[in-house]
Amino acid sequence: MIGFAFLGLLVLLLIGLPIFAALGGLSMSLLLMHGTPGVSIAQVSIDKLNGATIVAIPFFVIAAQFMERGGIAKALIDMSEAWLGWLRGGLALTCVGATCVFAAVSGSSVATALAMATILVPAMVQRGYDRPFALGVVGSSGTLGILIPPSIILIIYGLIAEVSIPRLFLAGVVPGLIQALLFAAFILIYAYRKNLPKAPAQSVNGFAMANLRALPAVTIPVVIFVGIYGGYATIAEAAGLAALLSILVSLFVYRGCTLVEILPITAIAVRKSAAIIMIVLAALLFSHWLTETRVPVHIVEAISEYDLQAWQFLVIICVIMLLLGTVLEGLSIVLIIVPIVLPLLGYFDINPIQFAIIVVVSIEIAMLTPPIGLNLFVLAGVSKAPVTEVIRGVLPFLLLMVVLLGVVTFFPAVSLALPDWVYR
Amino acid sequence: MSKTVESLFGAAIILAALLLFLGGMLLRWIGSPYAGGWVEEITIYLVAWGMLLSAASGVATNDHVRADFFLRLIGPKAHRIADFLAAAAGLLFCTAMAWFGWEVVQFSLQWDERGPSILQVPTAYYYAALPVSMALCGLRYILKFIELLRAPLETSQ
Repeated sequence: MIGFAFLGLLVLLLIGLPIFAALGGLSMSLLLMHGTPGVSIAQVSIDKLNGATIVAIPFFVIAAQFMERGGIAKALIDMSEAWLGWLRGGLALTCVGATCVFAAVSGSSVATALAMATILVPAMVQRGYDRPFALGVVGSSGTLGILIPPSIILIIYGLIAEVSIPRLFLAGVVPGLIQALLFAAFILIYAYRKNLPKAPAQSVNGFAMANLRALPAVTIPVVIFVGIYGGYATIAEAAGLAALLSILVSLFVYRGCTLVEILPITAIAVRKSAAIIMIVLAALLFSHWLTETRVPVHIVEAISEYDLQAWQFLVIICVIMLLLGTVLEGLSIVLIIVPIVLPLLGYFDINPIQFAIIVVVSIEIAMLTPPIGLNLFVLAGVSKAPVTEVIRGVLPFLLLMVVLLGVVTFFPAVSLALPDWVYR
Repeated sequence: MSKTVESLFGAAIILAALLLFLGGMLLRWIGSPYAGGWVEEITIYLVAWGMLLSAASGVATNDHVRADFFLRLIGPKAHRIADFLAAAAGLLFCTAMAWFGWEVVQFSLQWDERGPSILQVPTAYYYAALPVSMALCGLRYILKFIELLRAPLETSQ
């Protein structure tokens, strides 16, 4: 039955039906065939929206949208350049540094890549960097948006897997920093080999001004983290604060948007959130069908016959996710794979928090793999460069991310040490 | 910029929800007697309405995520057929969800279900977001059909 379900899903996706309607329609048909009344299907859908955590999604997307549009990215880039610009290849390192801070509010990979690309790609090309390299740095650094907390993908994973979202957020910190360090090391080696330019060190005054100007932007992630981990705010409240602060900072500090633009910019963010929520609803229906028909139990029974080790199982799942990543958008992979794989984690004694980070790193890779890789198209669109040039640029970073995927798969402590230490 | 009515209306509702939610948080911090579960309940209802209304706008503006790599590989005639099939499947799903959603609203009204907070808001007001959204999505798919019928073959991509 699951084979037919996937075949049906594939056909609906191939004809270009939006994923929410394809997955939702398929799940609805399967549930109706199973004997579930239509009214229960609708009830399950709408009941899933009735939770405080769902509220966090549009609020974080609003924060990301205003950060992208409201001049916050420019302030963070200036600050990062003050710290790292004097190194060889400093502008590329600036991108990685600024992305880390930007990602600590945005929660979206595409928003992060878009905000950085608009400013940094032309600047790097102007200073004599290869365009493919500049595109590669920005595109691959942008993926940090979903690994460094807060992350919309991790919120959705938490909703489906019923895992503590603050713990998931903490689990993304160390792998996120490792990814940033891997990128920085590669950039430094590349910069010295290609003799990339370095900016003159800034005066004390210039350094202080760049940091001072970025202070309101840097305050936003501080408020989020102190709010959540200080016990002052729930995830949804922290998201609300991030949204409000991003609007206020964009409006009054950086003047990147006007009062009249608030509604249309919010509308874009809400439409993006709606696209996410509709897929989540469809996936939850699919998950409901899986539970009703005890599909995961049958899969566990089938897999137990092969006598697989946990690491072998994880490698298989990683390969499946990477293959799906070439044809499906990241969020869809989470929503299709997670409900099926989740019940198997217990059988293999794999921590669902570690698995969440494996999923996120796989999705990061998916965002950079053709033909669907979302970040590739975002960068090609912004820089007016051919997609093939973007692909050439991200390739070395893609290999580094595969290394990171290996690290988070084979060393659970990389993901689990920080949440275990904080919640000891 | 997003200019569809549903999208702007949805954004206005979400902004109202944001202000209410943060206001509720402030009330809780200062220990006001007006703080309580009602803020969260109304925020959730508003956010659900805002997002579900915007979902219809996403159908109009092609903002819903879809895997279009196959469509890029096929010719205009096959593309047009796929577009018709996708619109038909989308319309079918949305109509069914609107119908089942409406049944949920009717049941809720019959049983006089109410929310858990002191406001005792009828849950039918919340449940109605689903059929309204799905009906609007369905309407957008019908408009897509008309658009596809009117479009000459070479511009259907």
